[in-house]
Amino acid sequence: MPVGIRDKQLSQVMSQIDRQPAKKIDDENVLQLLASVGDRNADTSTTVLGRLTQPGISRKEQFEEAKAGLSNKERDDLTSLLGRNDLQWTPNARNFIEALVGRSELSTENQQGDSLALPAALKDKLSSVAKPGETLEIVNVSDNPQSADGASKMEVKVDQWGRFSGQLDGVKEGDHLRVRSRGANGNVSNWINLQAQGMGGEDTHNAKIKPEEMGLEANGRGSVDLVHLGNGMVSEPGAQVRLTNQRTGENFDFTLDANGNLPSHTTVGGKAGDTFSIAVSDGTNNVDFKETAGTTKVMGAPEPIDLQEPEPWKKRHVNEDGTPNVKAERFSGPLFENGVRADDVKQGSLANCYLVAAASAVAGTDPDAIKNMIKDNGNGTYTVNFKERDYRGRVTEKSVTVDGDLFVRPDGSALYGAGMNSKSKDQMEMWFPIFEKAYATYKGNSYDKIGNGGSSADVMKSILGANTTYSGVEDYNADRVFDSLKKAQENGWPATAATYGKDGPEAERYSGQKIYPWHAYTVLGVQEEDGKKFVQLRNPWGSTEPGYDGKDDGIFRLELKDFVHYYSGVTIAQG
Amino acid sequence: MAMPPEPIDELLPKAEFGVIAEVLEIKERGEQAYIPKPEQPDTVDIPRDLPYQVVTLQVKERLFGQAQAERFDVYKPAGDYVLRAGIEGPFFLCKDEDHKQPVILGRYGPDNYTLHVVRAAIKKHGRS
Repeated sequence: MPVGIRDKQLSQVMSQIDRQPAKKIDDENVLQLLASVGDRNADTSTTVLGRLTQPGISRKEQFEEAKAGLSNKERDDLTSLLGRNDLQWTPNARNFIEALVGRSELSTENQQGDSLALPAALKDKLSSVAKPGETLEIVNVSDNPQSADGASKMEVKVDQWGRFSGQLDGVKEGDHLRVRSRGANGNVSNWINLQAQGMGGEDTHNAKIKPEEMGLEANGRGSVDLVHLGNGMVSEPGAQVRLTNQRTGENFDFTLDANGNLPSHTTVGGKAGDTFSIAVSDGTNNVDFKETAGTTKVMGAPEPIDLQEPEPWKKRHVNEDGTPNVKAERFSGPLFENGVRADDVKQGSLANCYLVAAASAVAGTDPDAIKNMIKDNGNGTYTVNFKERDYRGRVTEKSVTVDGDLFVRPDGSALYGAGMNSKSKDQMEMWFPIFEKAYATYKGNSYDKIGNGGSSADVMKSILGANTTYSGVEDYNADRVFDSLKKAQENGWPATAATYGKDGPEAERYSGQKIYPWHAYTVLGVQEEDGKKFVQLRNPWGSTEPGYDGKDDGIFRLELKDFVHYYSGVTIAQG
Repeated sequence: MAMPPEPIDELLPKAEFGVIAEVLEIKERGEQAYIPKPEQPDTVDIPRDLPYQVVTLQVKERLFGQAQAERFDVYKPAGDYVLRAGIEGPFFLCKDEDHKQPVILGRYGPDNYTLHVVRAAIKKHGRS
């Protein structure tokens, strides 16, 4: 029991204070002192303390409550406390006691006893979140939605009498606050959202927005999905957001939900690569969205582009009146039908026999390579993965997405590369025309880029990522060329063969032979029969061959001596 | 360049007459136009025109239309093929204002289609 204290209740309170190292009498525990001296008759100190801590009670009322029960003995006890040098008083607490013993007037400068002045409306809202003795964690998400997860939070302490202390800087009228309480044991409540009202002044503080929380992803259906990328708020709850497609100028407005998140299943008009400006309004400021807060770019695979006809062919594919007689139409046949085979492919009106022959060669030797490189996205588009080798020989992949729109002839059949199984738009096997279209896109977004000749080696590399070799007939004797083709066959390596014919004298030998100059063929294999060597070939047209074997499918074989007469060399991709 | 021949259903209506004939003689040949240099040894199909020719045909069979005579000169335009004497095949021909001889139609002339394809198309189109 503290020396000199005669009142039992007061002595108990002081015993607790004296056990503290700081021996501090502050705005909280001074009310216990007041209660211990305010008890009287049926009013115990607990009852009095209950009245002293009623919400809204004024400092003056607290003083009168204590004074009503104050005895002379208690006054003497309080006087002795004021004389102790080891106690640490807050000014308010000491003023209470000095006023009770008659040494000074009661100061009513801060009647509520709050060291943090808050408007009543906000205080009421905050009081509903935290019980006395808890701490409020407060985030101003209007000012910084980045901190919605609790980073950069402010803390306001609510004492056991419901008084507020701490700091709440920068909160302006209309600001949205996220608030949760933290008890002495560290337990925290869920975050709730409050709006600051009664702060004074006009709401001139517009919402802030976090563009990095907002993702735009091309969905392959000609529009863009809005996705929430992070875990935090995009902006304050209920904020109005406008996205403007900078390419089209089109505006898209939406409202964030009660947690400041994007509304679900929101789609805006655009495509991969588009840039959108972002503007936000809290409903009071920037309502015309004139002030923008940044930009965001649409992610995702590039949208399929509409490939143009090669310029030279535009002039040929016209009606008598000069209007185009070809147009693009959507094909939707199966990507693969009955597997992948060398005779699936058919060259169209493009000078790209090298590509058709190469694709056919790979299809015949490594059908899985074709299957694995082309994916049906299920939405009318296809993604094709091409392999690239860097200077160190490392293989990387590049994806190209195209749709099923193909140029058609007047009869409705595909103008360029086609499947062999059908001319019908809903039945034609699609893997080759899709591969061809993707290769055109890959090489420069135009059929023109692949329709003016080229190298089978390049095409096979892009499918397999493999090394290729070329064996020129003029440099090798016929048997060595045959041996290289035989080795390719044994190893399952694709091979193509090219004819001479770049000029008139070279081309003359093909006249009347149904073998064509300056042309690439698929090598289907080699055979040896009765001491003779043969090379089996396929015309990428899918028709037209020397001789007539009853099937005009472009497949034929030549004895080696004839092969080396008509063919200038072979290209082999080594797996 | 080795693109496939035009569909016969597109080419046949443009022909005034058709014959199966043998190339008897190359009477005239144009100059070889510029040929782009291939980038790689297996590069083919770079667009290039093989020279025009004027050749004499010996008719073996009339397919449709009125051929001028049993033997006449025709013009092979610059393009994707050249003719040589001695070869035989189906020729689709028409006359135009720019050439005094009938002009051979088709990307590969007599090598455009096999004979059975030609006969089937003539029947389909009712040409006689």
